[in-house]
Amino acid sequence: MATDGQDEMQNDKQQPGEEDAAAVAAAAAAAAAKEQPDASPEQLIKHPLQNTWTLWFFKIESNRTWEDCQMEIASFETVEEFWALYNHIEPASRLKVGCDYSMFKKGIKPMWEDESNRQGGRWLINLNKQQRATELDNFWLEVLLLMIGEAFEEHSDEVCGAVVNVRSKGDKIGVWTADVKKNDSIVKIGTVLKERLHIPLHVTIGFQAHKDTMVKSGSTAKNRFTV
Amino acid sequence: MDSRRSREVEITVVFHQSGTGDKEVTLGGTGFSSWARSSSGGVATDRSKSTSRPESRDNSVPRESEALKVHPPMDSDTAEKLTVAIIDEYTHNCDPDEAKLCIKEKFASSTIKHFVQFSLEWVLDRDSKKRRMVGQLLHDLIVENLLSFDQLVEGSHEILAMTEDFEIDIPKVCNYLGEIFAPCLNDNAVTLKRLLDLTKAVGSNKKANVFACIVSQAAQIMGPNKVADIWNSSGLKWSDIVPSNTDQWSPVNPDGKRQYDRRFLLELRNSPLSLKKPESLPNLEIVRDGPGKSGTGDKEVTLGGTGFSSWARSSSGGVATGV
Repeated sequence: MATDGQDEMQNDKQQPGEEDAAAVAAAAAAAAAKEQPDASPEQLIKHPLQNTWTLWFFKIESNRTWEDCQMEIASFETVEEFWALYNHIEPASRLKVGCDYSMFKKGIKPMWEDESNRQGGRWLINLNKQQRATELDNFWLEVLLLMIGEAFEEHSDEVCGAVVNVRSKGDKIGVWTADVKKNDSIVKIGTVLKERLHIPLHVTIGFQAHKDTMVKSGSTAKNRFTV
Repeated sequence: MDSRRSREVEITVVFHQSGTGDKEVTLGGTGFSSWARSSSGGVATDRSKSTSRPESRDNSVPRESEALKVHPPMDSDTAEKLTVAIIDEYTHNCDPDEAKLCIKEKFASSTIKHFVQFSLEWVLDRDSKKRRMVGQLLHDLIVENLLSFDQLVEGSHEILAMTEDFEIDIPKVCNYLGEIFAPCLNDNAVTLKRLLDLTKAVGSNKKANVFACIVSQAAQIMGPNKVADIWNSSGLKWSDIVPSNTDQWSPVNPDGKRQYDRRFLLELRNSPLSLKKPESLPNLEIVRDGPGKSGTGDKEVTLGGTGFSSWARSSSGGVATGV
């Protein structure tokens, strides 16, 4: 932790010169591209995503409201920018208990109250404690790839984002969709999710409306759908 | 390359010697399938021409007076003979005006397709300079309304249809066709769309290759920006050239769907751009300097391998929440 802090401070100091450095790097890249006509365009062209996505980090701080504890980390709109970000943050399994990562389409906040989430719900994957070491990072990355790759096809528009909660009782991954009334889309999204995460057939995952979760009395809200 | 060069040398030598007997042997010996196919026509033409040829060389007077005696209707052999004479002369003296004059005098609109056919046949496996020159001549003929697009299609059909056969002996035949047809894009003599129509004669296996070679050669001649303009204004889509089931985004199909499968995304994970630390990340404990330096990030690619046992363990417990 201490070393992290030092690195960050050094980064701060470097900032004033960054523009120059970027310009030099760009010029060097352009020169390199000219000298090496064989350099494939694939190495120079970023792959645009259908949507711009924002990564959020949640960490409870005693002096802040819950909403203020949701911190926007970065937004990206290409495959390469996604990886650049992903490659430079800790995997979910290294988060402290009580922290979340959320990745939502730009403009949608990772909270029920957001206009885009109000009518929606989430597919919920509960992990047991052992799975933090073995599965959590795989599952979270898989969910991110499903979302940025638009793997839900025509139902991708219904997807708002996803949240991973790191909790002592067991971690959770939720895939949030926009409208609990869109039965077909919800079932299709759940089916793709279960398939791509290689969740065995005998394990069932459930979809809950945010409204039900808000007013729940017990620890779990009722499932509107299951796959 | 070597055999072609050697043939040219041989021809030159023979011209100087004016020895018809030797020439027959050397030409026949080069053994290109295209030549073998046309041997009854092509070689005979060279042979018959060899007597008049050195004369025209010496005093640089074209053989018009002789050729003018030949009037349409024109048989195939005569057309080939005339074409080869004109093209041979043109590629040596680099005088397109004279070539055009000869063509005007000797070919009618009903026979110009033969000129196209035989000039393609003659130049296909010569050198790049000659192929570009012939392409430029075809371009000029189109611009000056001596050759219509339909006549170009008709005249090149036979050669294009044999592209795949040619490839056995001329591996770079697609590039060569590219060199020939690229000049036609100049001045919009032939639109890109029509060039695509032209390449349909090639057959489904190679037509995209030939089209790509034409465009790539054009980029060399007139610069990539000009060709990009031509592409953009052509109304053509990537899927018109390479038919595919999905209308996927690519650099040349920017309006395609931006859908990426798992494998493709993972392949980009370690590309240079993906390893560059994003600028202006907030100062948070989750930000790290590079990939794989900490945590379990490295083993993420395997899904399902270990998963089953842990799911099985957990199915009676936490995971069953959803049921």
